[in-house]
Amino acid sequence: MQVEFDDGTLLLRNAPDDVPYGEWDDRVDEYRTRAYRYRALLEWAGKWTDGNEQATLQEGFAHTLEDTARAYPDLDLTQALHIEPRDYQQAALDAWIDHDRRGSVVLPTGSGKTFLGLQAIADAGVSTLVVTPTIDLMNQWHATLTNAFGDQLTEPVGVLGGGSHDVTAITVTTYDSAYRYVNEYGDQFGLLVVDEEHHLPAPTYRQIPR
Amino acid sequence: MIIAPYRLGLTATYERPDGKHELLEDLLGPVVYRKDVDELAGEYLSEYETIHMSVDLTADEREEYDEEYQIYRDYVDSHEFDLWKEDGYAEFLKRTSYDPQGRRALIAKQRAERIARTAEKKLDTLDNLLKRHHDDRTIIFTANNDFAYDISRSSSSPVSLTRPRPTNAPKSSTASGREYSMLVTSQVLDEGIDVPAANVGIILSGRASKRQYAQRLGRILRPTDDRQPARLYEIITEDTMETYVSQRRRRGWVPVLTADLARSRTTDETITPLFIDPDEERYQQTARELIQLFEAHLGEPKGDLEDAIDELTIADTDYKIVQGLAKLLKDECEFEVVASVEPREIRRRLFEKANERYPIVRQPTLGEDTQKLEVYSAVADDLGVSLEECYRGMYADLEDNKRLVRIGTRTADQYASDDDTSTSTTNLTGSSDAEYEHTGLTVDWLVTRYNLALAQAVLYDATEMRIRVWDHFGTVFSYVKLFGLMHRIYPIDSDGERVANTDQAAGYEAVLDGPASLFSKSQKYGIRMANFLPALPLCDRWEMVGEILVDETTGETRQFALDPTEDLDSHYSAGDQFDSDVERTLADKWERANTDWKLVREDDVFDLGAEVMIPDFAIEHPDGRRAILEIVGFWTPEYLDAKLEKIRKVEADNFVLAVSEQLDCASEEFGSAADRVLWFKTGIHVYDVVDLVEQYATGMSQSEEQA
Repeated sequence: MQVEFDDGTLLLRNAPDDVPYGEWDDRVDEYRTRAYRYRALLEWAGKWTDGNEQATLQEGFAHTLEDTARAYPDLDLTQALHIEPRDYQQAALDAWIDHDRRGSVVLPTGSGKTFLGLQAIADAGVSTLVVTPTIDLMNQWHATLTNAFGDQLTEPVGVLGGGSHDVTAITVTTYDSAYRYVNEYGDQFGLLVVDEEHHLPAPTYRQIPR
Repeated sequence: MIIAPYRLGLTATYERPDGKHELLEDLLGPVVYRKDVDELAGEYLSEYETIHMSVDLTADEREEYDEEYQIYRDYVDSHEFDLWKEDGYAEFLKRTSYDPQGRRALIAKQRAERIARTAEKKLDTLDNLLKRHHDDRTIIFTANNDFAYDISRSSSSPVSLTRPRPTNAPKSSTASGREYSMLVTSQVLDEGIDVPAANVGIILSGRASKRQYAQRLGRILRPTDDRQPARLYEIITEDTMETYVSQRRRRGWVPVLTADLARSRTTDETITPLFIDPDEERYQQTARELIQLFEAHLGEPKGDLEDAIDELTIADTDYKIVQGLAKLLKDECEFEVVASVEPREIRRRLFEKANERYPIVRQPTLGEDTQKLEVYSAVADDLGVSLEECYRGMYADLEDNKRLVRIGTRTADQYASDDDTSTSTTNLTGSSDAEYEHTGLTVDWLVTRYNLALAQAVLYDATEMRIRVWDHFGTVFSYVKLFGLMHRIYPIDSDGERVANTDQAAGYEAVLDGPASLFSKSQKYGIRMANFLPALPLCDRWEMVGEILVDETTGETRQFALDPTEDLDSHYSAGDQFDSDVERTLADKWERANTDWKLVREDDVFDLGAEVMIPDFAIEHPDGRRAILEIVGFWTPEYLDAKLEKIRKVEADNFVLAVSEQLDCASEEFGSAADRVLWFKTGIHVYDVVDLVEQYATGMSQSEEQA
């Protein structure tokens, strides 16, 4: 089968009937699923590789799966701020990595959540979309990301929103712009960082990560 | 909508009062790490800790807040101020000074802010905090005087109140006098109040305060002993301006009419745009005045045009209609920076030159600044432009100073070249449309375009659109594809009833939505449906029913039905009737040929899943037999591949093809249709086609019936 990114969803061409999460789309006579099932699909097919590890083949047979959905590059980045992570920041990062780089970190205001975000981006080593609730925060993130990674990137940190429309390997955006454009760019990022994530469950915003 | 396998959520306040944070685990993953303020205090947050407390508005407050805020937001959205930028907000304020609607918007904003700031429940929260800290020294900050009084009156503890005073007044000793354990102030600390050594600070603000502000307040706090850090509480009103985002903003790429200009009526079942009668004189009059206004401002600054429109708006009671019509005209205009030298360059040079002459400003210059002129002249000379060009060019890139360079098909240069004639037209009033036709924009065009825009505005919230068309299938489905809509297609008869197959079809019904509609109802594709709508009036007979979402949380919808009775006009192109000369020539030859078979243009729609294929012709015999003809003429290799791909998917025994011999392809590539191919050299002969059709046409012929 072939996994293809189609306008914010995943089109599963020639998928077997036992494909997980597949919903039959009678308009195209193929299975289709939400974009965020990408990783689970690869895991199911024994195709998921995490960082430098080899694909862990499932028991029995692995389904043949051709991944044409992924359009995001690997990045080799080190945050250049010369700040040592505090103990709890390191612990939070480790916990996130232990959970296969999926999850939420809850820390009080002013404890350096943005810095943790930088560490996560460097660790994941893939192109990243940072989503923030306001243009103010978007600008703050943009400045911090540029300081941390600017010299190592071939293109400047991208900004999507507030009148800008530049999408690059590391891009910051607002919830509003993400909602508008994510079906267009949803295949171009391997890491999604959501700042002030408690806004995310709003009816429209929750469609962004799906 | 994003595939990212790695996900990280960050927050200080994970739990939501509505319990919806449970969704986050599915969307981003579980909480992997959590540290509270208490756990970090001392070691990392030793100076003070900030505690955010949010209160809800009461139901009454909420209702009033939403109402006022919507007035403000709609106004701002409709004028596209970018409030996040400083000049955007200044622009808004400037406008409020002369635009009554703007003034109303400003008042609405202030009312909403006041509600958020003085929310009743804040006092309860404050009271609880004061009880908890009854033996601490507390300073309470509020941005509003009245509220400070309220607090001082309602609080059970002795409270000192400070008020703004002139900066030259002697600083009072009240604050540091320590007679009171509590201080309420509406003062921002820039003014340098002599602040007591408080260990608890409480900020009562309308919105989440800016980080620097909170930090500055935090620094004045001192812990009483080593074990207890100083505390700064920030009590904010939940879900007011800072989190509230206009729905219209969220949705629209390019809304034709913004939310405040849309006009519709909603009943229990339906939603209908409030169309205007295009023939009614007062609308014709308004449209005429507006077009004249735009013409008169060709070559002039955008700001002047906006002011003139506002004046007209004040004079006319139909605010929404005037602004709506003006918006449609603006969409047909082009505004450009007109300056002989790049404004940025002029500013840079002016700054440098001025800097040479006044290295440091110690005192504001009194009286007339005579040197200013010298600076401008010097820079103008350097740049080789006139003094006036330099002066006017300096800020030519501000939005208001951009020039109207094109209206419709008419550009400013043409305007300049026939200055004499246009002066005479603009002096005329009540003149006929003919005089304005040189812009391509007529009164009738504007009023009918307006009705279409009203209908489009309703469709922004559509979750699904059902259309029925009885002609122009090729045009309609090419627009479906262009706007990224997906479809389910059903052949229908002339009454609109569904029929078994395309041979019996008089028309087609299509249900339009988008890829993610498969998983849940979404108004995400509403804008695409709105963009598609103008394709429908290209048909002679059509019907449309939109499912319009009226309540996002409950998913409640209303129906919006539309058909040609509203006389909507399309500004989209119907395309050429024939794709190629080969088709046109065949149609011409068929006219003159002697055969009972009739050649019918684009009569069938093959549903190929993601796409449709609309063959060039159907060929029909009076006895009921029928075949479908596709001409494969001159195509680039890429187009040919795509075309062959489509042809192979067609499952119809009566599907025949005429293929050019000049194409680099072989019979096998036509799949099951390989036997039904007629190869042609330069033109197609009618009788060759007839022979092929005789062989493969399906349907009952009379002779067979008799036999």
